[in-house]
Amino acid sequence: VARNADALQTGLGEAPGEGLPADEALLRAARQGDQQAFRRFADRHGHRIYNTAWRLTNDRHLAEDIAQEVLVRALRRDVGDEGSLAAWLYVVARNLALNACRSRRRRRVAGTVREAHVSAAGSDPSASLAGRELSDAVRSAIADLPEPQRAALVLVKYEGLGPDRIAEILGCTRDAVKMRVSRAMAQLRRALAGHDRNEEETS
Amino acid sequence: MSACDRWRDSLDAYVADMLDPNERVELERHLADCPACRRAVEASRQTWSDLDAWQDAPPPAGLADAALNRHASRGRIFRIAWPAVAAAGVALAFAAWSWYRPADRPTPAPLVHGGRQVEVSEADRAVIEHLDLLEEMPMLAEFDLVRRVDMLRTLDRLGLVEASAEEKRL
Repeated sequence: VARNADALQTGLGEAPGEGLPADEALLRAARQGDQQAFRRFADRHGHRIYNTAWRLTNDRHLAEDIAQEVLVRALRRDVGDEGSLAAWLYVVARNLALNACRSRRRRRVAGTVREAHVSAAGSDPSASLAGRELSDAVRSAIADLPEPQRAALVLVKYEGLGPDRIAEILGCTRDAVKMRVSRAMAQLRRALAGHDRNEEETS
Repeated sequence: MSACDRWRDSLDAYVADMLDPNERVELERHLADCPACRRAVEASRQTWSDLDAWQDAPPPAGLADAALNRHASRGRIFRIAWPAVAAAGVALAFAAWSWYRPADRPTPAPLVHGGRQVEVSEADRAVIEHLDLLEEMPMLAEFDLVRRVDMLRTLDRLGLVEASAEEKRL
């Protein structure tokens, strides 16, 4: 699941191959009213955008809202250079998600946001029961982390960013990022201790 | 402070690949000699790989269409708003032009009388600056008289007034 910065730049291997219209071409067509072109663009990037927003907010409705917003902004975006579009999409998704987390924290709705027991692994019917349980346990344990720790952990683990970049995004020092990840990992270790992984490993 | 104490907070960062190269080398040297820290790193690695279990979820169906609707609804707002924005812009531009126009006039030279600068109102200044017109006043009055006599004669022809009597009066 971990991604690296190179994958981010190239759009996670989803860069259009031979014969496929490029992202900008799809967006141009969409701007002229070609809805099918826009759906293809959304199919190409929606998955990654949605999951970035979901992992950072741990809220499916918010993630859907953010994914819609990112796609709309892409449609309204000034035509830029092709290479940066994929990276731009995920940066916008990440910023919107982090802003949503901050305002949620300000509203004190919940320092820890736990979705009702919606199975995250429902998308993958082939996953074993133990695999789904571990997936839910991980999601739930991450949801229980304090917001700053969760943001740091998700950015390093699921977005594949380095400590300097994360420090820049979260507005703290590199040492603070390491400390947040370290504390998050300690809490996750306790939360996931004793979870049966044997079945999951054989699946 | 023991070596283990020094590294305790860095073990997770090591597993997460967040250490500087120098720190990493130093920690690995310590790990080679310290079974307790090696066990802690192993536990951290287990947790780190457990996190891979959080699988991606498919985006909700109809995401693109929902985005298109959102885009269209904003477009409508803009379509309604543009004429109003344009009208407001024109009004503002006119107001600004009206406001600034007097400033565009050249500032009249200060009036000096008896070696002193004299404060005069705008209206007074207009009269003073057009004094030459006063000299033309008799001629203008003459013109006016001719025009009125002319009108009387016209009325006389129509039988409406007795022009000669009125002409005498004028």
